[in-house]
Amino acid sequence: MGAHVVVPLEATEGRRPVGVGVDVGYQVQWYTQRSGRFDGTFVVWAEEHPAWSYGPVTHLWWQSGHWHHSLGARFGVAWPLRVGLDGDWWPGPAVAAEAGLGLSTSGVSGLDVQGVVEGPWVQGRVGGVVTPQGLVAPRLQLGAFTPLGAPSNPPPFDSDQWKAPDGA
Amino acid sequence: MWWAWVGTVAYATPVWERPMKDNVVVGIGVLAHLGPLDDRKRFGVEVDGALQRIWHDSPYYTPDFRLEPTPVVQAQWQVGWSPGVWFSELNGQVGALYPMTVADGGYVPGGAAMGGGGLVLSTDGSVGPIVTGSVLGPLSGARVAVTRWQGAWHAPRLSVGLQLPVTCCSYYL
Repeated sequence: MGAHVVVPLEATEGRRPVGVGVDVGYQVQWYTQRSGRFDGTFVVWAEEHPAWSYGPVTHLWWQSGHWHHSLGARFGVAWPLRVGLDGDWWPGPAVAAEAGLGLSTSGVSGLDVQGVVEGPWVQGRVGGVVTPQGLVAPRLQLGAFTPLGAPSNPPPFDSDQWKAPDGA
Repeated sequence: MWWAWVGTVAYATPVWERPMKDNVVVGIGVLAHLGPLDDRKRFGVEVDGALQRIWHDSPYYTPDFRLEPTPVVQAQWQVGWSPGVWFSELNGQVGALYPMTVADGGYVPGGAAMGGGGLVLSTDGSVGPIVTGSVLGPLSGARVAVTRWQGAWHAPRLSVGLQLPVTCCSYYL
């Protein structure tokens, strides 16, 4: 989940030039797990390299005197960091696209689209709501986010997880 | 039989001794606006998703397993549309539930009554808190909600539709 400031990319007509918002999502992150035997020891490790990342995401933000909300999906490529063997990870650099239903108290409804660039704990977005009248409420969003899950510490060396499976 | 209900309640396992069970529910239904219709059609459609939690024993590990009434808590997101207006709302509800079936993977509500509140945002310009009430039947549900906006009650609405559990295996269904 995260929080951001909103910079409208349109005339604000006397309204506050900067808004705020919050983000909540669930990300599925792929990564490659490898294993091998080195000097007689069976080792399992995860490779940290860019891989597919996707999931549902929702945003709520205040822009140009109105509340806006979007609910949709995200798809991109992300570099998972500190991948845990039980599947947890920290977000690294990522690029993604999001699309979803966008609603606003200004009366706007349409397809909210966003381009996303992320680094560890920081995010930047450019987006707007596509309507039959064209693109409305264009905006730049800059903020921070944090994962609510975290990689677990490696298990003790006597854990069964470090033992070679049958046939390995 | 009324005495079956009394017996079930009287001999139910205390709630604090039961394990938690979660359910993911998705729904689709018909939306009916109960208030003035100057900017919208009377009827529309809605979709929703919810996370439910009850406290109930598992049939697999309890020799004297029986269905028991249980408290239920629910977090739900609903998006609705009727020609002229969209809205999106997040609400939380608490109440009582009697399951139709329970299995390791979850449960199917047999009947429930809940009340609560949340937040809503609508393209009619309203944004603010809502008050909600729901009743659930087997694979179905009805919900009323009303928005508190600008010091008055606004856009009362009723939704009725299917409520399908996603996470429950169907051992006893």
